[in-house]
Amino acid sequence: MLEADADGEPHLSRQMVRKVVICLALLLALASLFEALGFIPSAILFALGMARLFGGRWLPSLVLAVILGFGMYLLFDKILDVPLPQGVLAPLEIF
Amino acid sequence: MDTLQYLGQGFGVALSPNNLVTALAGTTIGTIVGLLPGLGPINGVALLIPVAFALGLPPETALILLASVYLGCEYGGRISSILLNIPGEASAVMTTLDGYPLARQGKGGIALSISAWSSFIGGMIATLGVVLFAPMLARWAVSFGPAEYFMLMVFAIVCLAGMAGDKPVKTAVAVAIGLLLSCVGIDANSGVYRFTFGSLGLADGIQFVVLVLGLFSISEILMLLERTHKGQAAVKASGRMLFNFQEGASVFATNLRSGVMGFVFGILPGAGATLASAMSYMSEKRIAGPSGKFGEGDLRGLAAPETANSASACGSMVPMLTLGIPGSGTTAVMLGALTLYNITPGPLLFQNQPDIVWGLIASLFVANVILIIMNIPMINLFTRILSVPNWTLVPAIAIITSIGVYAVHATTFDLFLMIAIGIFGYIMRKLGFPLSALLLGFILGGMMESNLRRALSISDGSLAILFNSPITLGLWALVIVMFALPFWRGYRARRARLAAAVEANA
Repeated sequence: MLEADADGEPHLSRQMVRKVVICLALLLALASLFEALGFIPSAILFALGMARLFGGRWLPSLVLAVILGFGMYLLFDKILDVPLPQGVLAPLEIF
Repeated sequence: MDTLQYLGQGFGVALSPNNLVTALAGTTIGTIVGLLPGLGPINGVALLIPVAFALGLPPETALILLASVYLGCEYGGRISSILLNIPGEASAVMTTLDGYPLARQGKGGIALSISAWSSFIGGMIATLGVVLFAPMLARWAVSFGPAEYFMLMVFAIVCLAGMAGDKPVKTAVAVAIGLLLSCVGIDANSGVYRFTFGSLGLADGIQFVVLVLGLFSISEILMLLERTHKGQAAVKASGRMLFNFQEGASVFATNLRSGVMGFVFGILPGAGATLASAMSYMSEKRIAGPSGKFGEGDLRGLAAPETANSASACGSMVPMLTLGIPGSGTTAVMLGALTLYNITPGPLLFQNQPDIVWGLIASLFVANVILIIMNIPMINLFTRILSVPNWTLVPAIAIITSIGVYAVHATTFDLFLMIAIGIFGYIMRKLGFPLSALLLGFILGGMMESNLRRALSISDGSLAILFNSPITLGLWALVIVMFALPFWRGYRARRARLAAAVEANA
């Protein structure tokens, strides 16, 4: 385990390590699915996982994930001109 | 009178409707970014670079956006310090010392307004300093050759470690890692692939947006895992929302002193806002003597770090604009943004692109005015943002970070690289290495290398060129002084301990 540093950061407990590993797994999943699934589905899955990891309840987390998935796509792809991959939603041509 | 004329021209740029809206948006975003945990000025600014690029903003508008976000962060950082006792970023740590006790005594409103006022004065003093000193420094720096630049950067790096205070070795190691990372990619002169391990994704080097967001955002998200439970509730900002004349007058001298001090620390490479706020707090505490109630809610203890904070944020623009050398992690990121626009920062910028330089300087005034106007009536809105729980905040930050990284090259390779850098940054943080030193090393590394090479090609490979001019010799002397500083400090601390031990025995 890592040492506590001078600022008195707590030692990494077993539970902490588990959380860090889950968080990294989620990030890696987002990176792997980003282009394959497209931004919206992968962001929804990722946000749901992260919200749960940070202690959100299922339903609010799901609502948040859906809002973030669609909202960020609209904000960045449509308003701010940052192109994001459409992935599996491309055939729908709704966006 | 040249300066005044240029400044007028700058205001013409800064007050154009587009740039004014940009400054307004930037200060609002900056304030929010500053008060949220997990986002500081460094990653706030880095996140906006791809957006500024995608929107096709002209360089002066992009710089105005980034600078106003930077200033906004210094204003926003104080809100969570005062009401939650949680500094939004390192430079706001000193603000908690007297800010939080004031809020608990029911003087939250006064604390918030007087700290906003202090930030304003600090920003104004430092911006005036920029107007006075930046053109002078730029005129002088025009005569710098590559050897002088190289020595200047060596000085900046030694400064970083020498000023770091308690952990010079860790800072030096962090800078060295940054320098190493800056070598990755195709060498521009010889075409050799360096440290790419056969990966095409690394051939272009590590993009600094990827490095910054990995180091700061991803590692911060991992740090936040330790605080998944509900944090302590914010103290309600109650009572009078505005300080009265007497309170304002009682801190005015503190404001002036800390503003000048913050400006000076802001100019020094590597020192930055964190050191400036700490030093000004200490010196005000000494000046106040036994009459002060520092640590228990003294208004001067709140005003000093806040003034110094925003003064150093503005002051750090001086080395960036005149020499092209970043004075802080955030200006390092802004410098990276400038190079994306193919603008080489440095003294010639003052002659060749006065619109950019003076537009930016004038926008510092504009942003400060917007911030003070915005911060006093809108404080309730901002404090409400504080109560957004982490489970909604962190997914949003993580997604925005990923978009920012993806936007640079539109490859997922960068996302994986960001995660790897994030893990590395997390471990570094856990071990107490300063990440901003690493970032400065990374930004300085590329510039140092090209300047050294240019110098050596002038001198035909002889290192003597580094000792040839009075300027390089002067810089060598400064380097030696800075290098000796941590040793001298260690020696003094040891002697003090020894003396104390002798006294205890006697």
